Amino acid sequence: MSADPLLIRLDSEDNHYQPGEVLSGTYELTDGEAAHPQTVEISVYWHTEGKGDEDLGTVHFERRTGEQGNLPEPAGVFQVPLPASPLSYDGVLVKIIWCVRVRMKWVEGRQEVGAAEFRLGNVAPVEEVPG
Amino acid sequence: MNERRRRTGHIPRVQGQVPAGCGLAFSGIFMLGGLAALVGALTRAGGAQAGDLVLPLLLCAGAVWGVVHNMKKSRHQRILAEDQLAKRLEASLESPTEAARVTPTIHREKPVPDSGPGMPARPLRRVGRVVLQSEGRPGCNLVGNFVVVVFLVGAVAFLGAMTWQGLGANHGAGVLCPGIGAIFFLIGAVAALKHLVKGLLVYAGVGPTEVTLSALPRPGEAVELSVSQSGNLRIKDFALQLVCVESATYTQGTDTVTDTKIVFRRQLLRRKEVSTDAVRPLEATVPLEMPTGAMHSFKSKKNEIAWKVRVEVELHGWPDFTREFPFEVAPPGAPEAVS
Repeated sequence: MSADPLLIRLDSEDNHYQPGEVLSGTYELTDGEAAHPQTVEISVYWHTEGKGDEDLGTVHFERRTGEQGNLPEPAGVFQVPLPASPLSYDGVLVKIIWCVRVRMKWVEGRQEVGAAEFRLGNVAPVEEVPG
Repeated sequence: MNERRRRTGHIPRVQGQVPAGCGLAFSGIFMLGGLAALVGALTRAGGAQAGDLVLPLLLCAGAVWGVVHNMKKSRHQRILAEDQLAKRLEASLESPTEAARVTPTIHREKPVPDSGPGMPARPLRRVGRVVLQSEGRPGCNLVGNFVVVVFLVGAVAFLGAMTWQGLGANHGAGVLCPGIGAIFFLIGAVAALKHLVKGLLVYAGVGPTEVTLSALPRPGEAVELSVSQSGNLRIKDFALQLVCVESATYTQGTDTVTDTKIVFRRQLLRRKEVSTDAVRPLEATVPLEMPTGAMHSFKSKKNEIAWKVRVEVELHGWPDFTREFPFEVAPPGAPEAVS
Protein backbone atom coordinates (compact mmCIF):
# COMPACT_ATOMS: atom_id res chain seq x y z
CA MET A 1 0.00 0.00 0.00
CA SER A 2 1.41 3.40 -0.90
CA ALA A 3 1.93 6.16 1.65
CA ASP A 4 -0.70 8.90 1.87
CA PRO A 5 0.22 11.86 -0.33
CA LEU A 6 -1.01 14.40 2.25
CA LEU A 7 0.51 14.08 5.71
CA ILE A 8 -0.72 15.83 8.84
CA ARG A 9 1.54 16.04 11.86
CA LEU A 10 0.21 17.14 15.25
CA ASP A 11 2.60 18.69 17.73
CA SER A 12 1.26 16.62 20.63
CA GLU A 13 3.13 13.37 21.36
CA ASP A 14 -0.01 11.31 21.90
CA ASN A 15 -2.61 13.34 19.99
CA HIS A 16 -4.21 14.19 23.34
CA TYR A 17 -5.28 17.74 24.18
CA GLN A 18 -7.09 19.44 27.01
CA PRO A 19 -9.94 21.96 26.60
CA GLY A 20 -8.53 25.45 26.01
CA GLU A 21 -5.20 24.18 24.69
CA VAL A 22 -4.01 25.11 21.23
CA LEU A 23 -4.04 22.40 18.60
CA SER A 24 -1.03 22.95 16.40
CA GLY A 25 0.60 20.99 13.63
CA THR A 26 1.75 20.94 10.05
CA TYR A 27 0.54 19.54 6.77
CA GLU A 28 2.66 18.55 3.83
CA LEU A 29 2.18 17.06 0.39
CA THR A 30 4.69 14.24 0.07
CA ASP A 31 4.71 14.49 -3.73
CA GLY A 32 7.34 17.22 -3.93
CA GLU A 33 6.95 17.71 -7.67
CA ALA A 34 3.24 18.42 -7.58
CA ALA A 35 2.04 21.85 -8.69
CA HIS A 36 0.83 24.30 -6.09
CA PRO A 37 -2.83 23.67 -5.23
CA GLN A 38 -5.52 26.21 -6.03
CA THR A 39 -7.00 26.07 -2.51
CA VAL A 40 -6.13 24.49 0.82
CA GLU A 41 -8.95 23.90 3.32
CA ILE A 42 -8.16 23.34 6.97
CA SER A 43 -10.97 22.26 9.30
CA VAL A 44 -11.04 21.25 12.94
CA TYR A 45 -14.30 19.61 13.92
CA TRP A 46 -16.02 16.94 15.97
CA HIS A 47 -18.43 14.38 14.61
CA THR A 48 -20.51 11.62 16.12
CA GLU A 49 -20.27 7.96 15.29
CA GLY A 50 -22.44 5.09 16.43
CA LYS A 51 -26.01 4.01 15.96
CA GLY A 52 -27.50 7.45 15.47
CA ASP A 53 -27.25 9.60 12.36
CA GLU A 54 -24.08 11.65 12.22
CA ASP A 55 -23.90 15.11 13.78
CA LEU A 56 -20.91 17.37 13.42
CA GLY A 57 -19.72 20.73 14.66
CA THR A 58 -16.86 22.84 13.37
CA VAL A 59 -14.59 24.98 15.53
CA HIS A 60 -12.30 26.10 12.72
CA PHE A 61 -12.73 26.28 8.94
CA GLU A 62 -10.22 28.09 6.82
CA ARG A 63 -9.77 28.22 3.05
CA ARG A 64 -6.33 29.34 1.96
CA THR A 65 -6.17 30.67 -1.58
CA GLY A 66 -2.71 32.22 -1.56
CA GLU A 67 -1.63 35.85 -1.38
CA GLN A 68 -1.03 38.52 -4.03
CA GLY A 69 -1.99 36.27 -6.91
CA ASN A 70 0.26 33.42 -5.75
CA LEU A 71 -1.16 29.97 -5.19
CA PRO A 72 -0.94 28.55 -1.64
CA GLU A 73 2.01 26.41 -0.66
CA PRO A 74 1.50 22.63 -0.56
CA ALA A 75 2.83 22.64 3.02
CA GLY A 76 1.94 24.78 5.99
CA VAL A 77 1.11 25.07 9.66
CA PHE A 78 -2.09 25.51 11.62
CA GLN A 79 -2.92 26.63 15.15
CA VAL A 80 -6.42 26.38 16.55
CA PRO A 81 -7.55 27.00 20.15
CA LEU A 82 -9.75 24.15 21.30
CA PRO A 83 -13.13 24.69 23.02
CA ALA A 84 -14.33 23.40 26.40
CA SER A 85 -16.72 20.89 24.88
CA PRO A 86 -17.75 18.46 23.60
CA LEU A 87 -15.06 16.20 24.97
CA SER A 88 -14.01 13.06 23.12
CA TYR A 89 -16.31 10.24 24.15
CA ASP A 90 -16.34 6.50 23.56
CA GLY A 91 -19.86 5.41 24.43
CA VAL A 92 -22.18 2.54 23.56
CA LEU A 93 -24.52 4.29 21.12
CA VAL A 94 -22.70 7.59 20.79
CA LYS A 95 -19.04 8.31 20.11
CA ILE A 96 -17.63 11.81 19.74
CA ILE A 97 -14.51 12.05 17.63
CA TRP A 98 -12.35 15.12 17.04
CA CYS A 99 -10.59 15.50 13.74
CA VAL A 100 -8.35 17.90 11.83
CA ARG A 101 -8.82 17.69 8.08
CA VAL A 102 -6.78 19.22 5.31
CA ARG A 103 -7.96 19.21 1.71
CA MET A 104 -6.04 20.48 -1.30
CA LYS A 105 -7.72 21.13 -4.66
CA TRP A 106 -6.07 21.74 -8.00
CA VAL A 107 -7.45 23.56 -11.02
CA GLU A 108 -7.81 20.39 -13.08
CA GLY A 109 -10.13 18.85 -10.48
CA ARG A 110 -7.61 16.72 -8.64
CA GLN A 111 -7.80 16.70 -4.86
CA GLU A 112 -5.95 15.23 -1.90
CA VAL A 113 -7.46 14.88 1.56
CA GLY A 114 -5.74 14.06 4.82
CA ALA A 115 -7.21 13.81 8.27
CA ALA A 116 -5.90 13.13 11.75
CA GLU A 117 -7.95 12.27 14.81
CA PHE A 118 -7.12 13.52 18.28
CA ARG A 119 -8.60 13.25 21.77
CA LEU A 120 -9.99 16.20 23.69
CA GLY A 121 -10.24 15.78 27.47
CA ASN A 122 -10.08 12.75 29.73
CA VAL A 123 -13.50 11.14 29.63
CA ALA A 124 -13.31 7.46 30.52
CA PRO A 125 -14.91 4.93 28.16
CA VAL A 126 -18.26 3.50 29.27
CA GLU A 127 -20.15 0.25 28.91
CA GLU A 128 -23.82 -0.58 28.85
CA VAL A 129 -25.33 -1.16 32.28
CA PRO A 130 -27.68 -4.17 32.28
CA GLY A 131 -31.25 -3.92 33.48
CA MET B 1 6.05 15.34 16.23
CA ASN B 2 3.46 12.74 15.76
CA GLU B 3 2.69 11.74 12.23
CA ARG B 4 -0.81 10.67 11.43
CA ARG B 5 -1.96 8.82 8.35
CA ARG B 6 -5.27 9.27 6.58
CA ARG B 7 -8.14 8.62 8.93
CA THR B 8 -9.74 5.24 9.07
CA GLY B 9 -13.20 6.46 10.07
CA HIS B 10 -15.51 9.25 8.93
CA ILE B 11 -15.18 8.67 5.21
CA PRO B 12 -17.77 10.96 3.64
CA ARG B 13 -20.21 9.44 1.16
CA VAL B 14 -21.97 11.29 -1.57
CA GLN B 15 -25.71 11.50 -1.02
CA GLY B 16 -28.26 10.19 -3.49
CA GLN B 17 -25.98 8.20 -5.80
CA VAL B 18 -25.27 4.52 -6.21
CA PRO B 19 -21.75 3.89 -4.90
CA ALA B 20 -19.19 3.16 -7.62
CA GLY B 21 -18.30 -0.04 -5.75
CA CYS B 22 -21.62 -1.56 -6.89
CA GLY B 23 -20.72 -0.86 -10.56
CA LEU B 24 -17.30 -2.43 -10.05
CA ALA B 25 -18.94 -5.55 -8.58
CA PHE B 26 -21.27 -5.83 -11.60
CA SER B 27 -18.33 -5.38 -13.97
CA GLY B 28 -16.46 -8.14 -12.15
CA ILE B 29 -19.42 -10.50 -12.57
CA PHE B 30 -19.58 -9.65 -16.30
CA MET B 31 -15.85 -10.27 -16.60
CA LEU B 32 -16.13 -13.70 -14.94
CA GLY B 33 -19.07 -14.64 -17.14
CA GLY B 34 -17.22 -13.50 -20.28
CA LEU B 35 -14.07 -15.42 -19.33
CA ALA B 36 -16.06 -18.57 -18.55
CA ALA B 37 -17.83 -18.35 -21.91
CA LEU B 38 -14.51 -17.73 -23.68
CA VAL B 39 -12.87 -20.73 -22.03
CA GLY B 40 -15.93 -22.83 -22.85
CA ALA B 41 -15.81 -21.79 -26.53
CA LEU B 42 -12.07 -22.39 -26.85
CA THR B 43 -12.16 -25.85 -25.28
CA ARG B 44 -15.18 -27.05 -27.20
CA ALA B 45 -14.62 -30.33 -29.03
CA GLY B 46 -13.99 -29.77 -32.69
CA GLY B 47 -12.36 -26.39 -32.20
CA ALA B 48 -13.80 -22.94 -31.72
CA GLN B 49 -15.58 -21.15 -34.54
CA ALA B 50 -15.05 -17.42 -34.96
CA GLY B 51 -18.76 -16.82 -34.36
CA ASP B 52 -18.60 -18.61 -31.00
CA LEU B 53 -16.04 -16.12 -29.70
CA VAL B 54 -17.99 -12.95 -30.48
CA LEU B 55 -20.30 -12.98 -27.44
CA PRO B 56 -17.60 -13.88 -24.84
CA LEU B 57 -15.27 -11.22 -26.28
CA LEU B 58 -18.05 -8.61 -26.18
CA LEU B 59 -18.76 -9.53 -22.55
CA CYS B 60 -15.08 -9.15 -21.62
CA ALA B 61 -14.78 -5.84 -23.48
CA GLY B 62 -17.92 -4.54 -21.75
CA ALA B 63 -16.54 -5.59 -18.40
CA VAL B 64 -13.20 -3.81 -19.00
CA TRP B 65 -15.09 -0.65 -20.02
CA GLY B 66 -17.22 -0.99 -16.86
CA VAL B 67 -14.17 -1.24 -14.61
CA VAL B 68 -12.54 1.85 -16.16
CA HIS B 69 -15.80 3.83 -16.06
CA ASN B 70 -16.52 2.95 -12.43
CA MET B 71 -13.00 3.79 -11.31
CA LYS B 72 -13.47 7.26 -12.82
CA LYS B 73 -16.89 7.45 -11.21
CA SER B 74 -15.43 6.42 -7.85
CA ARG B 75 -12.90 9.27 -8.01
CA HIS B 76 -15.65 11.71 -9.01
CA GLN B 77 -17.89 10.55 -6.15
CA ARG B 78 -15.04 10.94 -3.70
CA ILE B 79 -14.57 14.55 -4.82
CA LEU B 80 -18.33 15.20 -4.54
CA ALA B 81 -18.43 13.66 -1.06
CA GLU B 82 -15.51 15.78 0.11
CA ASP B 83 -17.23 18.86 -1.38
CA GLN B 84 -20.38 18.04 0.56
CA LEU B 85 -18.41 17.53 3.77
CA ALA B 86 -16.60 20.84 3.27
CA LYS B 87 -19.94 22.61 2.81
CA ARG B 88 -21.31 21.00 5.99
CA LEU B 89 -18.21 21.99 7.93
CA GLU B 90 -18.40 25.57 6.71
CA ALA B 91 -22.14 25.79 7.41
CA SER B 92 -21.68 24.28 10.85
CA LEU B 93 -19.10 26.95 11.68
CA GLU B 94 -21.42 29.73 10.57
CA SER B 95 -24.38 28.42 12.53
CA PRO B 96 -24.17 29.62 16.15
CA THR B 97 -26.91 27.26 17.26
CA GLU B 98 -24.84 24.22 16.31
CA ALA B 99 -22.20 25.11 18.90
CA ALA B 100 -24.74 26.35 21.43
CA ARG B 101 -26.44 23.02 21.48
CA VAL B 102 -23.41 21.22 22.91
CA THR B 103 -22.58 23.78 25.59
CA PRO B 104 -24.48 23.02 28.77
CA THR B 105 -26.25 25.99 30.28
CA ILE B 106 -26.47 26.57 34.00
CA HIS B 107 -29.41 28.76 34.93
CA ARG B 108 -29.01 31.33 37.66
CA GLU B 109 -31.73 32.60 39.96
CA LYS B 110 -34.93 33.51 38.22
CA PRO B 111 -38.61 33.51 39.12
CA VAL B 112 -39.54 29.87 39.22
CA PRO B 113 -42.92 28.44 38.28
CA ASP B 114 -44.29 25.75 40.55
CA SER B 115 -42.83 22.39 39.84
CA GLY B 116 -44.90 19.30 39.34
CA PRO B 117 -45.82 16.66 36.84
CA GLY B 118 -46.20 18.00 33.35
CA MET B 119 -43.59 20.75 33.65
CA PRO B 120 -40.78 20.63 31.08
CA ALA B 121 -37.36 19.49 32.25
CA ARG B 122 -35.44 22.66 33.06
CA PRO B 123 -33.35 22.90 36.19
CA LEU B 124 -33.47 26.34 37.84
CA ARG B 125 -31.28 27.59 40.69
CA ARG B 126 -33.49 28.81 43.57
CA VAL B 127 -32.07 30.28 46.78
CA GLY B 128 -28.89 28.32 46.32
CA ARG B 129 -30.78 25.22 45.30
CA VAL B 130 -31.42 23.73 41.88
CA VAL B 131 -34.94 22.37 41.59
CA LEU B 132 -35.10 19.58 39.04
CA GLN B 133 -38.22 19.21 36.94
CA SER B 134 -39.59 15.82 36.09
CA GLU B 135 -39.24 14.58 32.52
CA GLY B 136 -42.29 14.01 30.37
CA ARG B 137 -45.76 15.49 30.42
CA PRO B 138 -48.16 13.13 32.18
CA GLY B 139 -51.19 15.27 31.26
CA CYS B 140 -50.38 15.10 27.55
CA ASN B 141 -49.65 11.37 27.81
CA LEU B 142 -53.04 10.79 29.43
CA VAL B 143 -54.83 12.72 26.69
CA GLY B 144 -52.90 10.76 24.05
CA ASN B 145 -53.76 7.47 25.71
CA PHE B 146 -57.42 8.49 25.96
CA VAL B 147 -57.56 9.24 22.21
CA VAL B 148 -56.00 5.84 21.44
CA VAL B 149 -58.54 4.08 23.69
CA VAL B 150 -61.46 5.92 22.04
CA PHE B 151 -60.18 4.99 18.57
CA LEU B 152 -59.68 1.33 19.47
CA VAL B 153 -63.06 1.02 21.22
CA GLY B 154 -64.70 2.68 18.19
CA ALA B 155 -63.02 0.19 15.87
CA VAL B 156 -64.17 -2.72 18.06
CA ALA B 157 -67.75 -1.39 18.05
CA PHE B 158 -67.75 -0.90 14.26
CA LEU B 159 -66.31 -4.34 13.51
CA GLY B 160 -68.54 -5.92 16.15
CA ALA B 161 -71.59 -4.41 14.44
CA MET B 162 -70.41 -5.76 11.05
CA THR B 163 -69.93 -9.21 12.60
CA TRP B 164 -73.44 -9.06 14.05
CA GLN B 165 -74.88 -8.12 10.68
CA GLY B 166 -72.97 -11.00 9.07
CA LEU B 167 -74.42 -13.39 11.63
CA GLY B 168 -77.92 -12.10 10.89
CA ALA B 169 -77.42 -12.59 7.15
CA ASN B 170 -75.84 -16.00 7.74
CA HIS B 171 -72.84 -14.89 5.63
CA GLY B 172 -69.62 -16.78 6.52
CA ALA B 173 -67.00 -14.30 5.20
CA GLY B 174 -69.05 -11.42 6.57
CA VAL B 175 -68.67 -12.87 10.05
CA LEU B 176 -65.11 -14.19 9.94
CA CYS B 177 -63.16 -11.15 8.65
CA PRO B 178 -64.65 -8.40 10.84
CA GLY B 179 -64.82 -10.86 13.75
CA ILE B 180 -61.06 -11.52 13.66
CA GLY B 181 -60.39 -7.78 13.27
CA ALA B 182 -62.64 -7.01 16.24
CA ILE B 183 -60.75 -9.50 18.42
CA PHE B 184 -57.38 -7.91 17.55
CA PHE B 185 -58.69 -4.39 18.20
CA LEU B 186 -60.30 -5.61 21.44
CA ILE B 187 -56.94 -6.91 22.71
CA GLY B 188 -55.33 -3.57 21.84
CA ALA B 189 -58.17 -1.63 23.47
CA VAL B 190 -57.88 -3.62 26.73
CA ALA B 191 -54.11 -3.03 26.88
CA ALA B 192 -54.50 0.69 26.14
CA LEU B 193 -57.31 1.00 28.70
CA LYS B 194 -55.17 -0.70 31.33
CA HIS B 195 -52.33 1.74 30.56
CA LEU B 196 -54.74 4.69 30.73
CA VAL B 197 -56.22 3.62 34.07
CA LYS B 198 -52.74 3.08 35.53
CA GLY B 199 -51.67 6.55 34.36
CA LEU B 200 -54.83 8.12 35.79
CA LEU B 201 -54.31 6.39 39.16
CA VAL B 202 -50.68 7.57 39.39
CA TYR B 203 -51.61 11.07 38.21
CA ALA B 204 -54.47 11.44 40.66
CA GLY B 205 -53.31 9.38 43.61
CA VAL B 206 -49.55 9.93 43.86
CA GLY B 207 -48.23 13.21 45.11
CA PRO B 208 -45.41 15.09 43.45
CA THR B 209 -41.80 13.99 43.76
CA GLU B 210 -39.49 16.91 44.43
CA VAL B 211 -35.76 16.62 43.77
CA THR B 212 -33.33 19.43 44.49
CA LEU B 213 -29.55 19.75 44.21
CA SER B 214 -27.31 22.13 46.14
CA ALA B 215 -25.63 23.00 42.82
CA LEU B 216 -25.21 21.54 39.36
CA PRO B 217 -22.24 19.19 39.64
CA ARG B 218 -19.29 18.81 37.32
CA PRO B 219 -17.53 15.47 36.79
CA GLY B 220 -15.69 14.52 40.00
CA GLU B 221 -17.71 16.93 42.16
CA ALA B 222 -20.13 16.07 44.96
CA VAL B 223 -23.31 17.98 45.69
CA GLU B 224 -26.20 17.49 48.08
CA LEU B 225 -29.38 15.91 46.78
CA SER B 226 -32.70 16.27 48.61
CA VAL B 227 -35.76 14.26 47.69
CA SER B 228 -39.32 14.52 48.93
CA GLN B 229 -42.21 12.21 48.04
CA SER B 230 -45.63 13.33 49.21
CA GLY B 231 -49.08 11.76 48.97
CA ASN B 232 -50.99 9.09 50.83
CA LEU B 233 -48.81 6.14 49.93
CA ARG B 234 -47.87 2.74 51.30
CA ILE B 235 -44.44 2.36 49.73
CA LYS B 236 -43.08 -1.14 49.25
CA ASP B 237 -39.76 -0.03 47.72
CA PHE B 238 -38.40 3.46 47.05
CA ALA B 239 -35.19 3.63 44.99
CA LEU B 240 -33.28 6.75 44.03
CA GLN B 241 -30.63 6.36 41.33
CA LEU B 242 -28.14 8.45 39.40
CA VAL B 243 -28.13 7.35 35.75
CA CYS B 244 -26.46 8.41 32.52
CA VAL B 245 -28.45 7.67 29.37
CA GLU B 246 -27.26 7.73 25.77
CA SER B 247 -29.86 8.36 23.04
CA ALA B 248 -29.26 7.92 19.33
CA THR B 249 -31.82 8.77 16.66
CA TYR B 250 -31.57 7.23 13.21
CA THR B 251 -33.68 6.67 10.14
CA GLN B 252 -34.73 3.16 9.26
CA GLY B 253 -36.53 3.16 5.93
CA THR B 254 -39.19 5.81 6.33
CA ASP B 255 -39.24 5.61 10.14
CA THR B 256 -37.23 7.61 12.63
CA VAL B 257 -36.12 5.45 15.54
CA THR B 258 -34.54 6.52 18.83
CA ASP B 259 -32.52 3.96 20.76
CA THR B 260 -31.45 4.51 24.37
CA LYS B 261 -28.92 2.77 26.62
CA ILE B 262 -28.04 3.31 30.27
CA VAL B 263 -24.25 3.57 30.57
CA PHE B 264 -24.00 4.51 34.24
CA ARG B 265 -26.18 3.67 37.24
CA ARG B 266 -25.52 4.28 40.93
CA GLN B 267 -27.94 3.65 43.78
CA LEU B 268 -28.23 6.78 45.93
CA LEU B 269 -30.99 5.77 48.33
CA ARG B 270 -33.17 2.75 49.03
CA ARG B 271 -36.09 2.70 51.48
CA LYS B 272 -38.47 -0.22 52.03
CA GLU B 273 -41.88 -0.43 53.67
CA VAL B 274 -42.52 3.25 54.33
CA SER B 275 -45.85 5.02 54.69
CA THR B 276 -46.38 8.65 53.77
CA ASP B 277 -49.27 11.07 54.11
CA ALA B 278 -49.95 14.76 53.79
CA VAL B 279 -48.18 15.55 57.08
CA ARG B 280 -45.30 13.07 56.83
CA PRO B 281 -43.81 12.92 53.33
CA LEU B 282 -40.80 10.74 52.64
CA GLU B 283 -37.82 13.08 52.86
CA ALA B 284 -34.11 12.36 52.58
CA THR B 285 -30.85 14.13 51.84
CA VAL B 286 -27.98 12.21 50.30
CA PRO B 287 -24.66 13.11 48.66
CA LEU B 288 -24.59 12.92 44.88
CA GLU B 289 -21.04 12.25 43.72
CA MET B 290 -20.33 12.52 40.03
CA PRO B 291 -17.71 10.00 38.91
CA THR B 292 -14.33 11.39 37.94
CA GLY B 293 -13.81 11.17 34.21
CA ALA B 294 -17.55 11.19 33.54
CA MET B 295 -18.91 12.71 30.35
CA HIS B 296 -20.65 16.06 30.50
CA SER B 297 -24.18 16.55 29.18
CA PHE B 298 -24.29 16.61 25.39
CA LYS B 299 -27.12 17.20 22.95
CA SER B 300 -26.94 17.48 19.19
CA LYS B 301 -29.56 16.93 16.51
CA LYS B 302 -29.49 13.12 16.57
CA ASN B 303 -27.42 12.17 19.60
CA GLU B 304 -27.69 12.90 23.31
CA ILE B 305 -25.92 12.06 26.56
CA ALA B 306 -28.08 12.94 29.57
CA TRP B 307 -27.61 12.67 33.33
CA LYS B 308 -30.74 12.02 35.37
CA VAL B 309 -31.91 11.32 38.88
CA ARG B 310 -34.35 8.43 38.60
CA VAL B 311 -36.99 7.60 41.20
CA GLU B 312 -38.48 4.10 41.04
CA VAL B 313 -41.34 3.42 43.43
CA GLU B 314 -43.25 0.21 44.13
CA LEU B 315 -46.48 0.66 46.06
CA HIS B 316 -48.90 -1.57 47.96
CA GLY B 317 -52.33 -1.54 46.32
CA TRP B 318 -51.48 1.07 43.70
CA PRO B 319 -49.60 1.05 40.36
CA ASP B 320 -45.81 1.41 40.52
CA PHE B 321 -44.27 4.47 38.91
CA THR B 322 -40.94 5.85 37.71
CA ARG B 323 -40.02 9.52 37.44
CA GLU B 324 -36.87 10.96 35.93
CA PHE B 325 -35.26 14.32 36.66
CA PRO B 326 -32.61 15.34 34.12
CA PHE B 327 -29.93 17.83 35.07
CA GLU B 328 -27.01 19.34 33.23
CA VAL B 329 -23.40 18.42 33.86
CA ALA B 330 -20.93 21.00 32.57
CA PRO B 331 -17.51 19.88 31.34
CA PRO B 332 -14.66 20.31 33.83
CA GLY B 333 -13.33 23.83 33.88
CA ALA B 334 -16.04 25.26 31.63
CA PRO B 335 -17.37 28.65 32.70
CA GLU B 336 -20.96 28.72 33.88
CA ALA B 337 -23.23 29.84 31.09
CA VAL B 338 -25.88 32.30 32.22
CA SER B 339 -29.29 31.96 30.73
